[in-house]
Amino acid sequence: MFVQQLVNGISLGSMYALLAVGFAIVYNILGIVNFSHGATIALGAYCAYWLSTYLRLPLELSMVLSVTIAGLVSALIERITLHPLRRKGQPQIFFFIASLTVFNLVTAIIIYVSKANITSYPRTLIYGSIRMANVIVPKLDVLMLGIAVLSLLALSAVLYKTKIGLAIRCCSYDSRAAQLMGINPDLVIGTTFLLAGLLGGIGGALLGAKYAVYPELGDMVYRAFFACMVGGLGSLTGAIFGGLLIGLIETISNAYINAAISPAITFGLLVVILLVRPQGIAGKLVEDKI
Amino acid sequence: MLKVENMHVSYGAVKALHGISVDVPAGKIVALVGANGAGKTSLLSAISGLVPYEGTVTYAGEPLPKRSHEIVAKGLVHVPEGRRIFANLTVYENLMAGAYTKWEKNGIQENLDRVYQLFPRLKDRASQYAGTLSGGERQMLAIGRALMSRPRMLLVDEPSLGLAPLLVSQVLDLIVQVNQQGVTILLVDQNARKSLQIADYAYVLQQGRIVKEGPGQELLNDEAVQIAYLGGRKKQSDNGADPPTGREDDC
Amino acid sequence: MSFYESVFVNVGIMIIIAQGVYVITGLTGLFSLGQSSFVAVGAYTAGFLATRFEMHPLLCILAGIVVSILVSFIIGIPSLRLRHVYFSLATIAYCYALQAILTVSETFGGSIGLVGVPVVTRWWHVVLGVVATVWIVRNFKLSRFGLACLSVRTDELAARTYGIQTFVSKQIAFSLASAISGLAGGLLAFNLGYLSPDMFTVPVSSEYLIMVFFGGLYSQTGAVLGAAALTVLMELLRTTAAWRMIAYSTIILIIILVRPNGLFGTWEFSLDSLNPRRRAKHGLAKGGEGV
Repeated sequence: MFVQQLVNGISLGSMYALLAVGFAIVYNILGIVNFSHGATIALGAYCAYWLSTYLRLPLELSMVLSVTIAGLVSALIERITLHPLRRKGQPQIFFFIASLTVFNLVTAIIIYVSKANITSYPRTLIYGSIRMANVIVPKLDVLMLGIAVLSLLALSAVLYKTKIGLAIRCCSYDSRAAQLMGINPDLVIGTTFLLAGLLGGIGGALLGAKYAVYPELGDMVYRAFFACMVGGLGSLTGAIFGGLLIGLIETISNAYINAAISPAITFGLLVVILLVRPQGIAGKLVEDKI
Repeated sequence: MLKVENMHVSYGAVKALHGISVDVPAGKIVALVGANGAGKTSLLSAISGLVPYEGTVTYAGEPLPKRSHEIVAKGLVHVPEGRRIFANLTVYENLMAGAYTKWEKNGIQENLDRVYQLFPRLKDRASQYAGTLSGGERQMLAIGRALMSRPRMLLVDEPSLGLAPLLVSQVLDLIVQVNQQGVTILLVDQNARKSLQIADYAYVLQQGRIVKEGPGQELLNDEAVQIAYLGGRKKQSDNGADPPTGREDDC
Repeated sequence: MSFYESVFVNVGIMIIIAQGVYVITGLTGLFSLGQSSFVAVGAYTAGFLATRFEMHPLLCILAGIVVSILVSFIIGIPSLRLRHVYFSLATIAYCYALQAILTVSETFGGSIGLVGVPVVTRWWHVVLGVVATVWIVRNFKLSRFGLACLSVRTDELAARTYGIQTFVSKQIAFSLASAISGLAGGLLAFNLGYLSPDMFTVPVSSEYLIMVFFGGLYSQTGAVLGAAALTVLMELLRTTAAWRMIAYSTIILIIILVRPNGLFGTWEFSLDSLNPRRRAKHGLAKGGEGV
């Protein structure tokens, strides 16, 4: 029983890890808390739902398309709202408010279009479960974990093996020096948002398959934020650990205590972790970017 | 090669440059000399697109683009002061970042070999994180990184800042070597004597204006320049190290 | 209560909430995404005392304010020492945690909420509340604590080197903001007659923040007028909540992009500004706030 919860927790945690990494790459490059990431999470689920329900596309195809849409919307959000602010050199405050407002706007549009109903995809993504000894694991959980691992491997391949990945890492460290290398910061930041949106979309689409499709799915961004902080802001590995940790705490408190009180336990524990270790699990205290 | 005409730069209400004109002929080393806050770094930053300016800059006969990455693509590269290497990247990755604009073209390996030949130290440390390098090595990396894009001209900012006296000469000699390979150089360095020695031509900046210009050797022998920036020949025993003029707050 | 009076009361409560957000975010520069929880604390305390013990509404509201202040210490003492981002995070955590607790607690009516609170809030109560809040916040802003908060917003490290106890200043501002939110919560409880946990979520807090931003994050006048204008607008539109939010967010986005300091920037209304002689005398107090 406990092992089974553990597997569930890791599977859920792997989704949070995806969302958290998407959140972290944007934080690393712009030093901003990007709440608009929540919009891409909700869109990831809703686009898959709309495409498969109204256009009757196969669910798998709908999910792939919806992830793409989420990525593009993320880049678009950056272009329309954050880019002009960056151009004018506005302080952090405005990025904070702008990303929060975009998040609210997209959520409101989704609520308006979907009539605020909780729905689900027209069919289950994958049936059945895998049985090992006396541990029963739903195939969906295995699939989620597998996709999360593959996505993170793909991301690290992009970051460490490609030209744009190198540029992203340069800009994350020192964007002015990166410009002096001939790196176009607009392109790099746009790509980063695209990548973050893809990760958010994958997470959203799969969470939609696991639970249900509902407008508040975007609020998962707050968990992503938490995962980043607990893992150590600035560290992608830390974000993954943070995500897994949140998934585990949540699943276990759901199973053994009470589902309704589990947010209180999860967030309470996380705050305690941060008080004991303000720099997060992964280590070094990163200074605020100005 | 590079012609700056009537350049004005201001940071908010503070004016850093009051209409400066500088001419850098192809294949030469031109030095800028002046006290802290005289506007040397502002001039370099404006040319490389980091700071907005008024005035005209022509490069190789054409107006220079205003955005940094477009300027680099034209072969004009700014070597920022040594501590602006990417400490989170390895030495090799830093060099590859320098080759960003020449990525698709062949010859990256050739460039890399050339840089390694010029700075053998960097080859030994290729897989180390740049954050672990010493001050001198960082400076070498900054210059090597810029050379990776096969520039036609370098803007070199304070290459000897914070280095031990022995290294100062070494780094400036390296700049001469780079120049001999056909790269035009606009140099800013706090070591005025040494930079005037290697410069073909030099400008003296004071409070955002050019107060004197001439061939490097000529300025080296100029009495006013000596007193202000070279520690003075006659009054060395007194307070000659303090430049009597041209000091203001850093911008 | 007539339609107009109910709009009036809503506007008043929103103005009070906006004052709280102004103190913590506009004046001190901290992003609290938990202001709705402080409204919840005030509202639930007042509602609980009124339904269970049938206490006088005024006492209920005062008790709500006191509990809000106590909670602000519990949240503030650990989180205000840390960097700004941690504070935002802690307020989010608090908001989620409180919601979960309210949802499971039988005493507070669980997810259905607290019902049967007497509806006694009248327009003059709200007027009193608004006047008192605005007056207190104005004096706070001009006091040395207010200046300390302002210096924290501008440059916390520099403020500390000048001997300002930044932690104390932040805690005072946070507690004041919480007290104001608690007051608004109490008025809200006696206005609506029922309370439920989903009225006080993180997105609701973000709406408060956005509302203050509309008038100008750095202007108390802006906070008052922005809150009033947006609430009236939304009441008059009387459409679905989703449409309201779409309109709301779009307006804010346009403002951020076109006039990032909000409609009022740092401008403050004052009676002195009508009188040139006194204006000169108080020049410092008025022009003291930069962006």
